[in-house]
Amino acid sequence: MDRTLKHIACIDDDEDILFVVRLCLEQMGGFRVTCFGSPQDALDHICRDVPDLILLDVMMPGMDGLRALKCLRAHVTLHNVPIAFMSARVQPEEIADYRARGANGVIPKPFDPDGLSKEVRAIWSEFHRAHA
Amino acid sequence: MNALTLLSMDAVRSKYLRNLASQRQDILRLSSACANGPADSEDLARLSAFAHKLAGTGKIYGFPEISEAGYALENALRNEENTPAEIVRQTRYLLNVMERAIRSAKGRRARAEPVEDREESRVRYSATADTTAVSGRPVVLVIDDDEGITDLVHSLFGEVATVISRPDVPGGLAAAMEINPHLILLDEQMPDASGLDLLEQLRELPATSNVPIIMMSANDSLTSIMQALVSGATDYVIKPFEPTTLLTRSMELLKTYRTRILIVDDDEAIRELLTFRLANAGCQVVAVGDCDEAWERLEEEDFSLVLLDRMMPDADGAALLRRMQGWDGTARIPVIFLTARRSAADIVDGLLTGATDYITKPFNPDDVVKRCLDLVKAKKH
Repeated sequence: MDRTLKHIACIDDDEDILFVVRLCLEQMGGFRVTCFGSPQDALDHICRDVPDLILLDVMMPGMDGLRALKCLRAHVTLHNVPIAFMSARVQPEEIADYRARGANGVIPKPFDPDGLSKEVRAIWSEFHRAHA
Repeated sequence: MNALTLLSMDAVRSKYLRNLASQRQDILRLSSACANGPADSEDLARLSAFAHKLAGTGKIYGFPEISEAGYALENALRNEENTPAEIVRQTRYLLNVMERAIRSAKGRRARAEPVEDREESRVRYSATADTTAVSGRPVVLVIDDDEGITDLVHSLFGEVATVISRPDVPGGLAAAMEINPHLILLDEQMPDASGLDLLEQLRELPATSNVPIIMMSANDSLTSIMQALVSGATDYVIKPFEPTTLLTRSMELLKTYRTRILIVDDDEAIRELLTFRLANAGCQVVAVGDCDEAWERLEEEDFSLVLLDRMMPDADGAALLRRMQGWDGTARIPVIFLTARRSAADIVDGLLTGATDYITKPFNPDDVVKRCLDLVKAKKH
């Protein structure tokens, strides 16, 4: 399937981080960005308006990123959507653990605002190369 | 990053710094709780949450040390072999780093150069003026003895404008003459002189006679507002003001006073000559060789004036003018026709098309510059 990366959903409980992510990806990357403060808010919406990529914070109160990832992966509509974690814990074994649990990429937090679009694009391309 | 992005980044960074101060208090409380006896597991969890958050955010807002210190503390808390003393030590380190970040952000903004350092500062000023001319950023001079206000202006304008601050009247006057600011923000009540006097002096100097000046004052009486406006203030803001109010009014003035001219001519020599002359007169100039490119620029950018070659080999200047008249975004931009067709009938025809002015080739460049500036000025009033 020939697709392009246009629409990105971001789930993080820190509204300032959401603001910066939106700013970087919209203004500098030219993407459409939908932001959610919790996985619960995101789930329904994401299945109706399927994004091309999902960015997911790992540590959130309530449902954390790892459980959210399971929920998202359970939806058949999201099978072809790469999901990347954003995390401050990015030791090699931690990254391996995220990947083993089904994450398609990890963006280390703190991220570089100028480079975020590029990182997201790289994760998206890698996913579609692997699933081609 | 465009101006809006930078502005938003700066706003969110300021917010982050404000939060940092309150988080610092919370962490301080938690760490003294931990130091004074067996650590409460809830306190430790809260401390760990703070550390995690700071590790994941600091660098995003330009404070990588905070990220590192937060990460170190989080690791220290995860390692069960660590003594409370080690955790307290890491916490202290994080607190110091946060304190430094808060202070460095303040220091960066409230930089006041020593007055006796004249020769050196002159060099620095002109360097500032040069870089701003290159990057097209406006220069804002703020003259106020209140550090809170200068801090605010620095953070508000961030990287959208180059902000230079002076805490006193002599420093303000010297800076105004040396750096050619695009906008001056002036406190009405300075300790060493009245802002009103300074305002009048600035209006008498050739370098600043036309620069917009916003008076900032705690005095909200109608008389003093009138007095400031009569003495030459362009606008008047009452303290305490909403930061956005000051920013909006400033940007409005900076927009109007920044003259951007679009030159559309297929002749490269003419483009170069006019670009050079107009840039020397303080304008920002964009020169393009055809109408399609001109239209693209007009759609995306604001221009104060268009200099348009009427007859180009592959394009019709008159058609571009009609197109501009048909769109709200460009209909009000004055257009000067540049053309070799000089018969009275041609000139009348050109003006009937809607051109604001008509200059025939060969022209005197000084004349072109003067007519451009006159038109831009006329449009402003």
